[in-house]
Amino acid sequence: MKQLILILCALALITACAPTTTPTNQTIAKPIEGGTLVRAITSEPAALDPQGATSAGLTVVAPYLYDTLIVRDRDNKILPALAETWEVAPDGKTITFKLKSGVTFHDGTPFNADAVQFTFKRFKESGTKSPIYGSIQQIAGIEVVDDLTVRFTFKEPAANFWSTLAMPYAGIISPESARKSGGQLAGTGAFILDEWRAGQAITLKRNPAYKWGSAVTQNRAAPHLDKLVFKVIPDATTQLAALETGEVDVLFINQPEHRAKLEKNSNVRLEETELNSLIYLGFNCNKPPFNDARVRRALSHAINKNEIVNIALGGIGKVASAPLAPTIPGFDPSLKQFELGYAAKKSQALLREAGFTQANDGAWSRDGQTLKGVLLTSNRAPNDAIATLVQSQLKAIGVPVEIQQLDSKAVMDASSAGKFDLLVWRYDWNDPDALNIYLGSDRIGSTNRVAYKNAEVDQLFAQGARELGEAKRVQLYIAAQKIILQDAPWQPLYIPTDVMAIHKRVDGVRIGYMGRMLVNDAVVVAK
Amino acid sequence: MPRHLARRLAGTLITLIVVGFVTFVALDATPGDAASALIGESASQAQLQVLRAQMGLDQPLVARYATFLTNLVSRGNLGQSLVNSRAVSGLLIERLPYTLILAFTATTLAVSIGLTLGMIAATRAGSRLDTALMSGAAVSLAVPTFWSALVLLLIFSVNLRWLPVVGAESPRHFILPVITLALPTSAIIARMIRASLLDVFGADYVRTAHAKGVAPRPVLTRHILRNSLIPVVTMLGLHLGHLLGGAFIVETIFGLPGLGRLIVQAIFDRDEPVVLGATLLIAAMYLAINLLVDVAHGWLDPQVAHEAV
Amino acid sequence: MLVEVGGWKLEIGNWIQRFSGLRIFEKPRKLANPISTNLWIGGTILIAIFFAAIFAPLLAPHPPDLVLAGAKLSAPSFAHPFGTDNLGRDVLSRVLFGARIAIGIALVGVAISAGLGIPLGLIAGYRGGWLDQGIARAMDVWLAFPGLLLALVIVARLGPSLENTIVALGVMTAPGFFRITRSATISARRAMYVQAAQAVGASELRIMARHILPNLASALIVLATLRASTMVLAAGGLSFIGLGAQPPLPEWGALLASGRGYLDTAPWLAIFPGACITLTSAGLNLLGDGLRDYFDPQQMKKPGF
Repeated sequence: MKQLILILCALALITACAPTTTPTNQTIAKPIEGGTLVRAITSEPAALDPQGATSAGLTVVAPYLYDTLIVRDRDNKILPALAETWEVAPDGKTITFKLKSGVTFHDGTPFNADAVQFTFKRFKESGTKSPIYGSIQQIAGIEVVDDLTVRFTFKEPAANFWSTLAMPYAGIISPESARKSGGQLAGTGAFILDEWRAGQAITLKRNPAYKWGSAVTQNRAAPHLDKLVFKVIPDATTQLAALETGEVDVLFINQPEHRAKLEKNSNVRLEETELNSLIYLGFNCNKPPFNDARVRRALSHAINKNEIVNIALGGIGKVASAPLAPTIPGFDPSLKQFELGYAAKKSQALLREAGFTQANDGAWSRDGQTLKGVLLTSNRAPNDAIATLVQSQLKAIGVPVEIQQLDSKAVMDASSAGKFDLLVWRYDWNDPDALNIYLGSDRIGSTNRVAYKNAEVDQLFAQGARELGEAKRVQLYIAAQKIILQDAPWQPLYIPTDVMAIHKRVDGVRIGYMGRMLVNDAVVVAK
Repeated sequence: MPRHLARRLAGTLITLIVVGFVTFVALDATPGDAASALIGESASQAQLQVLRAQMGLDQPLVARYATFLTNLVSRGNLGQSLVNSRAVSGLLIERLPYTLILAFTATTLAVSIGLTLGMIAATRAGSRLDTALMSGAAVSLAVPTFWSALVLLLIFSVNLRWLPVVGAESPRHFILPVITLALPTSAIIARMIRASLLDVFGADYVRTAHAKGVAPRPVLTRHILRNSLIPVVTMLGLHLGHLLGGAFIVETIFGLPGLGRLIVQAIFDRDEPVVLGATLLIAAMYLAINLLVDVAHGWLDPQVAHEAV
Repeated sequence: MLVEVGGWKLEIGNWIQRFSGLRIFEKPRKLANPISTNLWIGGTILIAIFFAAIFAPLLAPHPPDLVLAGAKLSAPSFAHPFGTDNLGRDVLSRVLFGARIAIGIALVGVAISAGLGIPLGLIAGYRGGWLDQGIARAMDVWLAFPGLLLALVIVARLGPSLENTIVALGVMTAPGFFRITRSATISARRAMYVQAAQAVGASELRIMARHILPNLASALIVLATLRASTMVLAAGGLSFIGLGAQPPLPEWGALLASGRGYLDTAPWLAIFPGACITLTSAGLNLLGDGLRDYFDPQQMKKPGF
């Protein structure tokens, strides 16, 4: 009998797991100057050097430590940051920046033209690991005109340079701190690195001297918060639990079930933004039968993107129709008419046209070769769900696909080497130059994973990279995308959405450009 | 004895060198290397080759291992991380305390629970209590760690708010991870103790002790328990050895910065020196524990002292 | 992780051998033990799982991979007794087909583990000398090598698939079989019947296969049963970090891992596969215990203490 009671007690304990909401104080307390905001991060950066190798952690933490010359707002508009004004020469080969005065680095040294020159020289010499290294290489010279004026010169007009400068990798660093070996690089950011406990947390403290913030936030002086903590929590389920108990204030979610759960939590507010990214289904253009554009088009027509967005993503994302995300210049709604939409009949017609015949069991074959493939993707959520749906949709037209999930590094390596038939992968880039990076023929073997090659498209990419007139440049990329959509190296699937969950203990946290967390207006409203 | 010990140590050293080499070969066989993992998306093939050369990854495998061993022997240097240029020894020392605390506390807890429950079950073999304890043990052995960790977290941290969810700042943060790890081990120990006690209860020397009129309790402790501990010690040695290798799942769920997460991250980053350093440290601890286990065997049962290996 | 999931059970074999080993080699012996409750319960659970696995196509209400877009995350009902998952697949069907995978993992994994460990143990134990020392050292390396790295390399080299995961699990756990076989062989080598066989000029292979191995059988069967339980758990652990079965295979560990996030909104996603893993693993453990009791004549003489 006693055992029974024990078991019942245990069961009661488990069923008590139903979400219990803590009583909330309805009257919002007066904003408190000071306080700490804790954000959960999945992985920490390897090192806090903006010019180092990219990692999710680096782009998350660096913007608070290192200011850039310019920033972009949520609508992709360029705003002054450390640079006050700038002037582009008519030939597009020279850009002159006037810098803000009265700015100091965390190590006390003044910010000036020398620091800008030093930063980009260092980048050119040793920034090979950085994702913007290729773009930085376009700089031919950096000249200090006077203490607060710096001039960049280029061999060719560099249209993608503005996007490069706005990325957190292009943060300006103090020359003094970089010359000291082993020390932390100092920036001019609103926060100063306080403590970094490996594998646990990175703590930043308020920079009291800060008064040069950009117009992205209302408060352009020092932040209200005393401390900003990035807590490393690798497991998404644990992150959620920590938000519920108030151990963290802010986190980002990418799984529909987590959003569904937080929508019910009255202590949590959600804010979303569309990213400058695309998740695509790529075909290996080097490998038969996928080297045949008709086959690629046929498979593209079999994909039901709405189903993927609604079911695999639970709505955290938007159906994509073109290779460029809508927030990147170069996207155009008219491209929709060139999209290879969901139409199983067209798939069959195209496969027949390509010389395939369908057997009674539904399988397609040509010259004794069955049409099937290996779908490569990484083992992170929600890729498994997307891959499963793609597999089920292709099976519906009679094309069996086997899914291979590897860790991200292995996917990148295998796809660069062309060891796949189909690929579900993504890019994150804020400039139409993305197309050149991921589909330009000179990038075959590295970032052009699908080994797509089209001379006409290459030509348009090259023109686009040098065209400084925004309207003209956009037209070049629209033309390129029309061809790409017909060649179908990619079937664009969806534009991901970043969902930020904020505990109501803090107020004023906003989501910004590329899903950045903006905290300069943030205040702690309740303990 | 010293000669035996010297031979044993030499054997351990050779084992370590081989473990290191196998790690090298294994990493080399894994697609991707640190350079391709680190290089920016927009870098060219030529830049990749330069970075590869900077990292020394263009050297043949054997040459790389030879360099590593030379540095280790001549300067006691485990090298630098390819990812963040920090000294590997520093990275390991940073993580080791958490792993040590977790491993030793979990093992201690498992032994205390397991011994107690095992003895209770054995002395009341066949009773309802025995059945209940053994069924409980069978179930807790059969629950995947990532599941029990999550359930404990949801009950004690989220719903009852008794314990923190994540981190390693205070001893309270270690309670749930330790319980998660100790639960299945204590079940194994309880089952082993019970079985071996029941086994020895029937042995001749126990009956002799009884015949001599030795009271039951001293019989239990002095004669029986000591013998039953032998298999437990063997098992514990291996268990502890493995926990010292880091408990990746538990570290991940509870956000503890132990060796498990370090090595897994390093594997995914293809950070050769860190993987190698961590593997060697883990292997060394493992072999050291095994050595201690053998010593303990000799103490518990003098007859085994001369058994080979 | 593997280390922690599977690792601690690596040496159960040693323990079995240590406290029951000496008697196992006494030949002949009576198998007159009553079949214990453990054996009953464990056996029944496993028979049920075998039944589910064999008749999965008949029992499952839907194909396991069928995506029913309109029915995602529906609670258990008549149409879907275990509910549906995030893609609208029937959980009962997936769990039933998952039984096939679990049994595959257990059987093939143990076969690989035993297939590597037992012959090496026999050779090392029987031959002794430098060969023994060499193999034993290699096993030390094997054990000291991080299991996850091994799994990652195997999966990365051979491609991620359930088969390769099983190979990885089997290879990782081989030293357990090696150890128990080796030490038992050393003891058996000195036994009268082996010396008698040697005296009449039987070949080494014959002695190992016909005289030594059968005497190890009971201990090895017990170990295999317990190890099978470890395999099922460890496969789940591998799935947790994304190295296990590839989607859409309904491996229980993968189902449980992906159901974790739905504990509040759709608990059936985690509860059913979780229960299956625990039931199978517990069933195998009980069966192992029961078999040990069954094979162990000493139990007969147990005095009421």
